Amino acid sequence: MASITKSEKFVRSKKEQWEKLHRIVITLSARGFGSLTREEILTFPRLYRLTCADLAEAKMLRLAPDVLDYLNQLVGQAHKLLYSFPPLRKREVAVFFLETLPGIILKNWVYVVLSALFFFGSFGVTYLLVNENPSLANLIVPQTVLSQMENSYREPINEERSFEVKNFMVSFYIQNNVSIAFASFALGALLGLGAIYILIFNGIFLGAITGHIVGLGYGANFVNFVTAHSVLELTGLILAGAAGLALGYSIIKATPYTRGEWLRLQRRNIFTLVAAAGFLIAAAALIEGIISPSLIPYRYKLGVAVLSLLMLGGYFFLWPLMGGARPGAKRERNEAVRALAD
Amino acid sequence: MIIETPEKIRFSHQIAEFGTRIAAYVIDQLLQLIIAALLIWPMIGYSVSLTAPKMTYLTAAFLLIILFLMRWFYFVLFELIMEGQSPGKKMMRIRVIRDNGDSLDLETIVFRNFLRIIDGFPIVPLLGGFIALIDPLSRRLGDMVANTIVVKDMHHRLRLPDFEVNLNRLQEDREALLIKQRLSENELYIIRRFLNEYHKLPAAKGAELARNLADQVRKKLGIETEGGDSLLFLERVYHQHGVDHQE
Repeated sequence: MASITKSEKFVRSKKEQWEKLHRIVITLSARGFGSLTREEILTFPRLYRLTCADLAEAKMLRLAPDVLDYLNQLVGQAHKLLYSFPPLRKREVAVFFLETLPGIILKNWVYVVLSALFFFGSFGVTYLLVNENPSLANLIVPQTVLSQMENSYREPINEERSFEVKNFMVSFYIQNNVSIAFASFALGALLGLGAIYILIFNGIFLGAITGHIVGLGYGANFVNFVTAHSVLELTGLILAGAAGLALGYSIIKATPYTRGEWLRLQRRNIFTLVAAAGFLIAAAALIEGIISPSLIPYRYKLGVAVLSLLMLGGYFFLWPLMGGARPGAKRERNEAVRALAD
Repeated sequence: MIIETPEKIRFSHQIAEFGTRIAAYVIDQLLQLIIAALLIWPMIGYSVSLTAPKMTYLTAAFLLIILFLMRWFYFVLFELIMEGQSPGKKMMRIRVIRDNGDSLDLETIVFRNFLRIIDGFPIVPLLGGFIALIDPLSRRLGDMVANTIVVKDMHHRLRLPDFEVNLNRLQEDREALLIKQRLSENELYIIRRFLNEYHKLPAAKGAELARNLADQVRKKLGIETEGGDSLLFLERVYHQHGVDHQE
C-alpha cells in the first residue's frame, strides 16, 4: 500500500488509456489514417470521448495543473484529428469543376450585375466624356502612359514579336492582372468599398485611354489588339469585383447568424468566384501575350473572342441551366459524405 | 481561447503573442527572398554569361512569375501542407487553427492570406496589424474574415505529468503531523514541483525559498511551530496528503 495524492491516483488509473490515445494521435498526424490498424480506427473516437470525460472530471476535482494541461493538450490534438478536414478527393475536385464553379455566376448574378454596372458604367461615361472633350484624358491618365499608348497603336501591328518577348508579356499580364483580381476580392473586406474602388478606377482609366486612342483615329489598331482577350479578361475582372462585393455584403448584412458564422457559410461561394476570376484572367493573359499582338488576320482574333464567349456561355449558363453535371451528382456526394461520417 | 467540442467538453488554446507572430512573419519574408533568389540565381548567371537579350527576357518572365507566386501562394501552400504552419510559424512554434478548433481547409487559408494586402493598404497603413493589437484574440482582419486564430502550437510537448517526488528526508523520520485542513491539489502541485527542482537552485536561494514556502504552508494549515528543516516539513506535508492506493 502506497500513499499518493489524488491527482496521482487519477493519472495512474487512466494513463494507459491516455497513452493509447496519444500513440494513435502521433501515428495519425505523422502518417495519416491509412497507417492505423482496423482496431485503432475503431477505438480512436471512443478513446477520445473517454478522455474528454476524464478532462471534465479532472477539472471538477480541481486536480494538479500539470494533469489538466496534459489532458487539455491531448484532447485538443485528438479533436483536431477527429474533426479534421478530409483529404481532397478526386470526386470533390470533379464536383467543384462540374457543379460548383459553373453555377457560380447564376448563383451570384446580383453581385455580377452590380460589378459589371460599376465597371462598364464608369468606362462608358468616361469614354463619352473624353470623346466630347479630348483634353480630359490628360487629367485622368498620366502623360507618359498616354504617349506610350499612342506609340503602341499609331501603326497597325507590323512585326511578329519573338518567342522570348511574348513569354515575358504573358508573365507580366498574369502577374499584374491576376494580382489586381485577387486584390479587388481582398479589398472587398473593407465593407465592399475597396472592390468598388478598383472597379470604378479601372473603368475610368480604361475608358479614358480608349476614348483618347479612338479620338486620335487609332481605333482600328486598338480594337485589333484587344478583341481576342477582351471577353475572358473583362469577365474575370467583373467576377473578381463580384467576389469583393459579395465579401463586403456578407460582412455588412444583418442575418440571424453571428457574423463569423455567416461568413463561414458564405466562404465556399466567394472562394469559387475568386477561383473563377483567377482562371479566366490567367487564360486571358495567355491570349493577350501570344495571340493579340500577332500578325494573324483579324478574323482569327475575332474567332478567338467569339469562341471564348461561346465557351463561357456554355459553361456558366447553359450547363448549369440544363441541370449540371450528371443527374443525381448531388445525391452521390451527400452519400459519400455520410459514408465518411460513419 | 476556449473551444467547446461536440461532446460539450471545453479545452483551451493559448493565443500566440503579437511579437511571436511578427517574428514568424519576418522569418517567412526572409525565406521568400531566399527562395526567389535561389530560383532566379542560375538564370541570371546564365543570361549574363551569354550577354543575350533573349535570355534576359526569359529571366525577367521567370522572375515575375516567381514573385507573383510568392506574393499570393507562399503562405497558402505552406499552411495547406504543414497544417496551419509556415516555416516561420514552425520556428516560432505557433499554428493557425479555426476558431472552432477544426483543422484548416483551402478556402479558409485563401481567405486569411489573400487579405494580407489589407494589412499594408496605403490608406490605412498596417490596419490589419493594428486590429490584431486591440482584438482580444489578436486576430488580423484576415483572421476575422476566415474565422481563424493563431495559437501556440501544442504539438511537440505532450508528456504525462511526473509524480516522482524526492522524499529522501522522510526515510529517516516518519513522525506524523497533525493536519486539520487539507491543501488543494494545486498547492500540492507547487510543493511537488519545488521538491523536485530545488536542487537546481543555488543552495542559499533554495533554502530561502524552502523557508518561505514552508511558512506559507504552515499559515495555511494553521500550524504554529516555527523553524526546523523546511524541506523535511514540506516532504512530510506532501506525503501526508496522500490517499490510500492499492498497488
